Amino acid sequence: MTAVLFGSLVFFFLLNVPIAVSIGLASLAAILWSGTIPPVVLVQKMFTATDSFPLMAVPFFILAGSLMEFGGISRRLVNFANSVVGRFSGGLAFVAIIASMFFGAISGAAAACVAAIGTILIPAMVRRGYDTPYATAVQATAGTLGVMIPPSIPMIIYGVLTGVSIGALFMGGILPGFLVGGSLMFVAWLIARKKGYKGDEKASGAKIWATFKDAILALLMPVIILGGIYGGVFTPTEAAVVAVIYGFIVGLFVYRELSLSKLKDILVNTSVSTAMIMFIIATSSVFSWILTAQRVPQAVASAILSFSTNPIVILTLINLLLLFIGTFMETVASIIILVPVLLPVVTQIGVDPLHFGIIIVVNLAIGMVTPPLGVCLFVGCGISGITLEAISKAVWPFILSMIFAVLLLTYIPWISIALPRLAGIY
Amino acid sequence: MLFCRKMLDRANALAEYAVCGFLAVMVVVVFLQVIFRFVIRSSLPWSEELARYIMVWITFLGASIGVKRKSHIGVEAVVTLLPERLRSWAAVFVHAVSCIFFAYMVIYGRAILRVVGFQLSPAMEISMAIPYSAVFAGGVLMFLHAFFQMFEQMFHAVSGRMVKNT
Repeated sequence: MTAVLFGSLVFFFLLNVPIAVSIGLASLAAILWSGTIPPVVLVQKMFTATDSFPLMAVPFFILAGSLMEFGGISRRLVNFANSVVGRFSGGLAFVAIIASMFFGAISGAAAACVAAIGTILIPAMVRRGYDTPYATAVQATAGTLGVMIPPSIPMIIYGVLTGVSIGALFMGGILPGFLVGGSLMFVAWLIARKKGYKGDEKASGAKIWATFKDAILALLMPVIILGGIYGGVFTPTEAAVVAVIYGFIVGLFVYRELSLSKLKDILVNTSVSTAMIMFIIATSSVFSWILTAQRVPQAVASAILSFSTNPIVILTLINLLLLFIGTFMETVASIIILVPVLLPVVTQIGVDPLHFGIIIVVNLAIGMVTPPLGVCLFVGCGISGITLEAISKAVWPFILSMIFAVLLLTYIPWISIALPRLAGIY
Repeated sequence: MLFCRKMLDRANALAEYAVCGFLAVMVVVVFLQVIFRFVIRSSLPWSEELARYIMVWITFLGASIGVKRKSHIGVEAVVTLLPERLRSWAAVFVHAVSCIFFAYMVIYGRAILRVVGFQLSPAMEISMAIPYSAVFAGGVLMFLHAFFQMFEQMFHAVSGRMVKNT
């Protein structure tokens, strides 16, 4: 039955059947093959997977991010970042990375981050004489910070699956996010220096202050979200809805760039993006239910542990697996299918579940920029109009620096665990 | 053909209005829950349940809009290697197997209503058939969109042209 499950899954994937439907069909095939499981389980599991309050943070964070984007907030973040770091060589690349970190602290998705910041910065970089593939690669990789810096949709899903506190996961993602952001900036700077991309003139203190004042309402948003969660005031879902209301008020009444006609499009598009993630969650939950019922996680665990019980060896193997899967698979589906299988393995060798969650999210984030398939690459190429081949060459140095960062945070659990421990929430 | 397309477009436009309204209501309900807890210091008993059921509806209606817009992502790496003619037929096959899955959602989504229809939800005490019928309704819409797209794709495969995948 497990063979039917995985065999049909690979078959449907290769034929380009939509991921959610592939996973659903594979589960259905296994159910029909077994002959003992009533097919009504399919509908029942799909319903109970989506009937979840914590998962409601997903639509709210998507909505908050898109209200910010259309409400004129991303442009203000870019201006502020530019006045601070625009002076260095390759300055605009720094701006792209830092603005993505700010935006990542509002939105929980990587592709949204590339779209929001990249539509402003990729053309700006090209105008300043940066190579288009370089500019696109910087922005595509910077966008992955959106899922590391809290809030983060993959972390919400990991938390719901494993019972690890979503608030603690969010806080655990902060240092890894800075680590990845820092290594991206280092590579961007090296290349910019070699190619001779000059920075802007140094901005005056008054200019920095002016752009800061202009961006203050945007910069306050992460403070409200994170402060609310860690102050014990809100659950992550409630913090997300407060962010939505805040973004709505700021965009509509303060910056006045949001119109009611835009609002309908924003609401519909948010619903569809949410539905596509939730539909994958729905069918994957049937899939992982069958996996668990067939005791596949235990079988995989004993197979791996009979091979080696050295945490470094096992984590290295899991990193390779995650990088490989992340290259070809969509993030949410990867998390739902892999976590129940891999978590029993790593907890047996003493890896902390929160630490493991961060490892998974960062690895799969790398998968979003690895050619030939990567959602951030597609969005980036869509903005700059270059081909996948052109960006594939330019993106490699950045991917290598991210792999370096992921190795560091795999072998040094402190990077992920220190902040939640310090805050006393984990 | 043209008539079918028009009807499906109209059904989809209705679904778009519905998810738009649902999402707005969901935001308001959860925000009210926060307000009630902090300002009025009493919690609403029904808000969480209502919001959850709305999200189930958004999921399955929204997924049908995704099918209509052909925006559900797949793994394209292998089919792009196929010659154009074959790729076109592969797309027909994709729509056909998707229809099978959606048909199961419709059949069992309806069957389960007879079971859960007698149960009442814990907080609002409404019939559980109301949230559960989202699976059925979304399934019907997804099936219809995918079924129509299959014929459209087949038509183009026979005439040797690709339907643009957007």
